[in-house]
Amino acid sequence: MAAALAVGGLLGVCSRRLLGAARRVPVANALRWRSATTGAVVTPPEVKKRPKAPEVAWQEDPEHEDVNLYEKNPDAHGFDDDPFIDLWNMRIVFFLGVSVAIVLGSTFVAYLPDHKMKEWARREAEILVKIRETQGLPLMESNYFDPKKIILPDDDE
Amino acid sequence: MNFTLNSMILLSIIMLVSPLLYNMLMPHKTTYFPTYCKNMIMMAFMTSLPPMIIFMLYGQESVITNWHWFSITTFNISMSFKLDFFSIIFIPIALYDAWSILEFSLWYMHSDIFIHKFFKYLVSFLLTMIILVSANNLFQLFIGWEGVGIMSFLLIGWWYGRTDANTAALQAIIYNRIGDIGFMLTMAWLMLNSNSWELQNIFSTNMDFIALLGLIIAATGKSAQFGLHPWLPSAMEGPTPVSALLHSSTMVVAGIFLLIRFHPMMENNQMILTTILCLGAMTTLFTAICAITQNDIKKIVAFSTSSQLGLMMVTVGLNQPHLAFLHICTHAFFKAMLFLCSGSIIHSLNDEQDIRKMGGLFLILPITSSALMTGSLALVGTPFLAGFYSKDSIIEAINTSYTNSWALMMTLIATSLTAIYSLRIIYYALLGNPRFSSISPINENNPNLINPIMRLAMGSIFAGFLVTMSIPPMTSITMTMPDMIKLSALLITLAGLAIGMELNSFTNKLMNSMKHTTNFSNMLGYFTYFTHRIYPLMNLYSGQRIATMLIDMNWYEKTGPKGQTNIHSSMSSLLTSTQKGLIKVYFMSFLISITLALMFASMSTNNF
Amino acid sequence: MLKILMPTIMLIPLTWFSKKPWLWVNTTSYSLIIAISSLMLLYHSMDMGYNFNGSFSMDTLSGPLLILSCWLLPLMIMASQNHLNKESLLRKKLYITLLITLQLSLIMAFTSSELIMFYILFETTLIPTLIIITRWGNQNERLNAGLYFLFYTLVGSLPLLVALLNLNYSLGSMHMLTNFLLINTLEHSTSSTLMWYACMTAFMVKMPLYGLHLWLPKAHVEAPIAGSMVLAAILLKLGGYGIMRITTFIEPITIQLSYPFIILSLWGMIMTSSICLRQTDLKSLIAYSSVSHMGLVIVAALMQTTLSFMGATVLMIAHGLTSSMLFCLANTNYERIHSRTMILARGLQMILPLMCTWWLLASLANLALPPSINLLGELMVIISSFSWSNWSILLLGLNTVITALYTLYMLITSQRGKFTHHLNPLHPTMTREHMLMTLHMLPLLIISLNPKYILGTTF
Repeated sequence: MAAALAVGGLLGVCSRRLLGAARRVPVANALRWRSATTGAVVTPPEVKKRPKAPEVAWQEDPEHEDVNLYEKNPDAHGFDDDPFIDLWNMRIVFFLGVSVAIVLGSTFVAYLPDHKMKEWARREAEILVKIRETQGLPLMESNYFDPKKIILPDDDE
Repeated sequence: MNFTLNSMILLSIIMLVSPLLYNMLMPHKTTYFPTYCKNMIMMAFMTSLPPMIIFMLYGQESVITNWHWFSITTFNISMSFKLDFFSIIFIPIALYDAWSILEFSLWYMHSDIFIHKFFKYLVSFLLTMIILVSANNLFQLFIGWEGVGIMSFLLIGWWYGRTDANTAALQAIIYNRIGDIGFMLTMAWLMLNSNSWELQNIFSTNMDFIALLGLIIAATGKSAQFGLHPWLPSAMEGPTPVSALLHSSTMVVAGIFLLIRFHPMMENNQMILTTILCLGAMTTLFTAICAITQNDIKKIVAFSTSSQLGLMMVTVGLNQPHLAFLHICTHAFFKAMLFLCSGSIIHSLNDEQDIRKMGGLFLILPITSSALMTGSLALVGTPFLAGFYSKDSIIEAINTSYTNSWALMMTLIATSLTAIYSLRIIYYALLGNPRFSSISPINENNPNLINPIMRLAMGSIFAGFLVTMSIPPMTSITMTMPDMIKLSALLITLAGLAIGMELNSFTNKLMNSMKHTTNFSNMLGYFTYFTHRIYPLMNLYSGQRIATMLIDMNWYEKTGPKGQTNIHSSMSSLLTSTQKGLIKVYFMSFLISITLALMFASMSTNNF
Repeated sequence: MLKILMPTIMLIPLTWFSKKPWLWVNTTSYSLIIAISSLMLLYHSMDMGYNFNGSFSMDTLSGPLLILSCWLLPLMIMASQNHLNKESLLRKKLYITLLITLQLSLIMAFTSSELIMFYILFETTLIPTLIIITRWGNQNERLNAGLYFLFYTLVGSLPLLVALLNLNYSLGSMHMLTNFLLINTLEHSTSSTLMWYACMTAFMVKMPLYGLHLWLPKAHVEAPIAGSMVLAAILLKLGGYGIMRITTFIEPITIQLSYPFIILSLWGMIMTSSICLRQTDLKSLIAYSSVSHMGLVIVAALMQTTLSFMGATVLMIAHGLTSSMLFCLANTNYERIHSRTMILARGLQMILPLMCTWWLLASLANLALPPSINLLGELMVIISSFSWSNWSILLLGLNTVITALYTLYMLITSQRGKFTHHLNPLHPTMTREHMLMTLHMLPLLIISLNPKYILGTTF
């Protein structure tokens, strides 16, 4: 009896470890034993595997087919499959993009009239500075108009 | 006279542009392109000589302002060139160097299939360098400044298949960019305080310490001064002509050049001068120490360049900018030649750069050896070679000045170390028994090799004399001094030679007692082991862990979108659980609300 | 105005009535013509805007952005030509129509003179972009990216609507060109502060401000090439444009309230730049670099000085062209290697040397090499923030260093180094791609010659 108790106690102590082992060992489902004291059949609870996270197919480019335009048409410009369209698309883009937009466009912009009339304003300012220098006046004054020339109404009016 | 000066200089700049245009318009005509480049630079050099002569004879200086870029209210930016003492003298020297180096590259790079591209890069570099030197405007200076940096990036990384070359190129650009912070600081300061980036306007303002400190940082980055120096020895990964042109004679002196340009702002600011002096002294001593135990011939020359740059910095710090400029000029000749000689040796020994595997080359490479000898002697300041005129004057200026004697002492020690490492190259590479492979393809009969070296050797012998004789001294030089001080430059050099000889004979006798003492020098003062490990590691680690993982992927993501999702989904699941048609729940809610209502009602009636 | 608008509207019928072979030719050339005619808008005789009619007007701030959006349409069409190759004709037409609708709403957004109208069009741009990202993106994550994109922007911009309605009620007009005549100063109070935040958040999200930027890398990475291009080039600029427009309505508390935002974006620039250093994904790197550059624009736009407004405007145009070009380059790699991972495409200089030149030029523009307008913009921002606080130069300087670092890291990893052997079936570059890069690069270089047209209203 004592021996049985000892075995039962031992089993009780070890059961946790056994259960732990059962989780790892695939034969765990078949494992069962009879308790020495009560006689009940103990089966470890069935260990469920954690459901796997749904796998995301990691793909960067689903349509992984290279179309090498040069195979059909060695002179391809990358615009179209049809060599004729390809050529004309290239020509039109070159004409409008480079010849017209870049060349004529930048010429147009370069010869635009004075942007915001900045240069005009500067020119005027320089002329004014010269005038004031020749007249011996200070270059800048707090009064925009000569205060003497401003006719103010009388106070009583 | 003015017309001749301006048009000749502009003409030589246009000549530099012409190879680039030629290549752009006829990109497939590459066969003769390198020769064309070389000839064009030679022409540009010839063209830049008359302005120099005009300047020497009549002292003619000039400022060209010709294209107004844009202006913000009263702040103008135009294209303007300043042709003064510094630019008029430096442009011919740079072109002379470039001419020789390009001719040398014809030989050195002849088997490279992209040789035309290499020449194009070199010419573009030269153009940006000329822009830098002749700029009268801080913005234009910055164009040149960044331009030389980028060209050095491209040229160091010339053999782009090699990891080392790419790393070195990246290193160069990072250190230069750190210097650029200083440049930008100064630009910002000047725009706010002086409202102009034109040099003549800047010179009329009083720059304070911060603004000048920006310039020093800029110069530190570009001229590889202590703290930002490790890129220069690494840059030796580039082809030898690149090292000769960029990393000895032109690009690296740009930082010193900047300080020389701005010396009118500094000459009365003792704080700044002392900073420059100490920085320069530290650089010159540290890099000289590093140079004495290197075994790679190019690395030795690179460290010696760095040391000489430190010496120039010291001179600027002594308030002798013209002397520093003179040293730039003479240094350009012999240092470029030393690089060409090492290139010749490396090529002849089948890409062997280790000086321990050379030896006895004076018999088989006579011209290279004699040039190397001349260059080294000029470097150590042998009387009446090029280096003497500048170096001796610098040492005299040091000895007769009474500023920071600690810094001056360090400079003197570095000067004697110059003799040690110069002797070391000569001793190992030229003298003794041959230690190289016996099937090395040694041949120095190609005129493309001999001519440039000879030409630069002429420069190394006569340039100092010519430049000092033709230019009146700009600053007063102490003429009388005791004999010992007058001779000190020579004496310390001789002492250095003696010590060097002794040390070299030590190494032949397998004396192991010196083993650990060389570690400091051999490991470059352990400097790179800290800066190149800790800072990148810190930066990358914080980039990964803090910036990306902690903040972006956790804090922002969890408090932002993910957090919102969680809150909403838990809230909605809570709410749906109450609405499952269970009568219990409805009664319960009914009960609770009634109770609450009654409670509030009773409370409010009590108040009444 | 109608000279631009009507042709753009007529692009839609042109698309739908084009025969299959001429679809691309027609739309590209027609949109190029529109772009060319939009250059007229650069002309400004006076220091004021143009009133086209009651609801459309334009000044020197919106003009360059408008031209940029017109210029980008043909480029987007050209860039999408390859990846739409296998789609059916109907879908191609639908795609082009979406791009045109986007341009239409962008043009109207930049020219609308009423803030409410601007708000409506600002929101309108979301719809085509959303469809482009979520329908034509490459991976499943595109749906998530679309969600982020939409929700961030919408949550940010709904308060703006309320604020605008309130402003409209109190001011009586929301006309941008005349608003400086209206005297409305916000007092220092909680409600004014809330008003300020409500007005700003929408644009801060759009820019994006660091902290509100999560949608941007996702959207950029998942979007097809045209989506990335328009997102980087123009849609982000709507934010900067909006800040500069709306700050005049909510004076004078901007000076106090902008402090944390300036600091945050200065700090954010460093953080996003260092994120760039650790990216393995090419498009993600470029997207984060956009965040970093836009940080500069936020700083400049909030600084509210003459110089900083100029800097912001220049930087917006410069960054628009540069980042769009970088995305195009990334796409050329992607179309060959079918991966955005940088390490898989090494040593391309060996095989595609001309493409390497474009990479180099684009990288140099991105790291602001003088005399490009990128540098001009950055320098102006640096100078104005230096005058705001001297210490900001440390952060901005550090940022320029890191910018150079990651840009060159990108260049070196993709172009230099040893050529990897799995790249053997790489097909050569096409004229179309070179054309695309040229049309990005040349305007950038030409503007550098004469930057005064893009210096904005304060020039």
